[in-house]
Amino acid sequence: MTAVLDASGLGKRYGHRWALRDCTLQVPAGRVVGLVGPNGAGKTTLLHLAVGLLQPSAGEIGVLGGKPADSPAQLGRVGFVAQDTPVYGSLSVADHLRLGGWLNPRFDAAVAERRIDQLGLDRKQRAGKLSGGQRAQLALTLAIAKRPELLVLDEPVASLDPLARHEFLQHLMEAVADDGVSVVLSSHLVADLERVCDYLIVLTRSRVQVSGDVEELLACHHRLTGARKDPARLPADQEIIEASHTDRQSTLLVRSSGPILDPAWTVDQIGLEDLVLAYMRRAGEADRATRKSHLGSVG
Amino acid sequence: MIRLSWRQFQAQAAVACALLLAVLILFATTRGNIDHLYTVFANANAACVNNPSCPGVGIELSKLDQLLELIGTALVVVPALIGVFWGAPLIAREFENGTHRLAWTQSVTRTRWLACKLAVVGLASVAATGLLSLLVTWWSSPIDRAHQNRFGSGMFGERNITPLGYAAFGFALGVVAGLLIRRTLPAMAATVVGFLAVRMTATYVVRPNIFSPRHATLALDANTMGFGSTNGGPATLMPNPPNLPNAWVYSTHVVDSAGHGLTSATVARTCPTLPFPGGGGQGGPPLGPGSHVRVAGGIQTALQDCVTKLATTYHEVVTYQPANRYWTLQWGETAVYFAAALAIVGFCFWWIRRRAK
Repeated sequence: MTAVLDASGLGKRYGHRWALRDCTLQVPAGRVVGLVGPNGAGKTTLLHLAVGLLQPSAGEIGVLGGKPADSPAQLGRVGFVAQDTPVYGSLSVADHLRLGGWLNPRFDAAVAERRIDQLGLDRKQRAGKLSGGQRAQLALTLAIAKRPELLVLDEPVASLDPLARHEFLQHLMEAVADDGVSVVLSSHLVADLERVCDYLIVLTRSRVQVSGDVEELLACHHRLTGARKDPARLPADQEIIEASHTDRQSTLLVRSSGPILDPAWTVDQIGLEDLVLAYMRRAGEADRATRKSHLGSVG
Repeated sequence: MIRLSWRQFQAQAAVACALLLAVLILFATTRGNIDHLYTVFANANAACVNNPSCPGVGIELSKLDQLLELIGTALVVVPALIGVFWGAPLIAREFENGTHRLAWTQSVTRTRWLACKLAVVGLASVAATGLLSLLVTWWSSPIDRAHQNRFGSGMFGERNITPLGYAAFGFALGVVAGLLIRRTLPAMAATVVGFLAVRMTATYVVRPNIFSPRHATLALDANTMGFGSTNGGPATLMPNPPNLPNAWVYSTHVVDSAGHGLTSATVARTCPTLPFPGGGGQGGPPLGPGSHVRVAGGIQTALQDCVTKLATTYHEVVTYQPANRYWTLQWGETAVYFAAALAIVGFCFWWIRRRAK
């Protein structure tokens, strides 16, 4: 099966600053992928590269086996809801449905009309007068009715209140269930992603820290607690993501392909949020260390 | 994509249509009066030819007509307004609102997106200006016929086809400013400044130098000769421009056979009877820059003698573009502006494909 997203050595540089660097990942089809990272981590850059709004400065990116935004056909296979869900403020809701039809040969007007009815949007209302939640729903409607194979959403719920956030994600999941469309969705909040995603990419400081199936990730990460121990003496297949020590006790978050056999450890499962935070903190520490050794070389 | 471009442009198009309609109605209702007025004027003038005792014939336009004449001047402003209000926001507003991210991720390449936007609004710009120019040219044709000054600063760029070139250029300039600056207001400001700079340079520096002017040599004529000074300088002979209908007269000089200009000192030496300021006699009335005055009353004879004496060594040289170059210059200038607009549009396509974000 072709990967919906296939990046190798992908990078984007603005002047001397790398917004995204050495990004290599394969995202399988049919998944709902959460792209998580703090603000400014490069999430938007990665998504813009995927939908062809940006050109890479280094490496390559393939989307659904093609080059992003290469042709009208390729553009038609990818639906995109940009950050802050931009719509044409002076055009009405009905105008937006029409423009969807004008600009997309495969546009499914029936699906769009049905969704607008469900949402209870007034077709004559100018899009500039919609609430943030309604605007996001309108943008999602356009993207879904385009009948894409891949739906890319950049922080779609970031500016929504909890209720609108819940509704938006619910509508998204319904659409996914109906169409079997692959989804890549970014957020800086793990809680949003936890409910809907089955695949996770953690992006911090312009680099991919970890990516994979959510269940597999949770299964191979463990929190170990035990008497204080030198981390270097762990088995080779156990990678420490995070370690904290008191005088007598060590708490480690490790990634291990096999089960933890050492009886000295108390092994706990960890949640998605803990896992993401551990990777983010590790990236932060590594970054600070690099910055100390060569000042200013990392942006 | 054409339909979306048109939908986005509809409101502006409606405003333009309403304005054009208003101008059309005003012009249609007043054109008859203007035509009548200037026919009477022309007939009176014709009766006066070769009749030195004929009183000067004047024409007085009503307040409304004067106002309408101003609409001709609006043709200078309209292309700039098109650049500012139609050109500059065309792309800048999309960047500002982030809607380019919506538009560029539909099943339409951004090249086509740009092409449709440019086609719809660009053609509308040229068409609207063309229509206005047609109306103005038609309405003011009796006035223009009477003035016989088609190259005049308020006429050449406000009649016939040149405004179309300005409109195309103004629009393209606005678009490229919006594309590069990405924000509407600064792009609008840049468009105004750029447009004015180009128009002024083209009008005052380029246009007079494209075709080398013609020179005509005339004998000095006491009937058209004036006497006075420019900007408080020394008084000298000042020939009035010869009667060259619709020609573009650059200058009229009095020179000798070697090409040396007539100096005030020579005039004073040859014609001591003329009233030089500070030289005993009273100077002429205060004169504006470059203005000429016909010497009145008793000095007339003195001037006549003076011209007769000087005419043996001096003659008049007129530098001008003949009237029959009007259309060559109209087409030439229009073509240059269209070429500049096309070059800018070409750059926009290159930029949006290779550089845009």
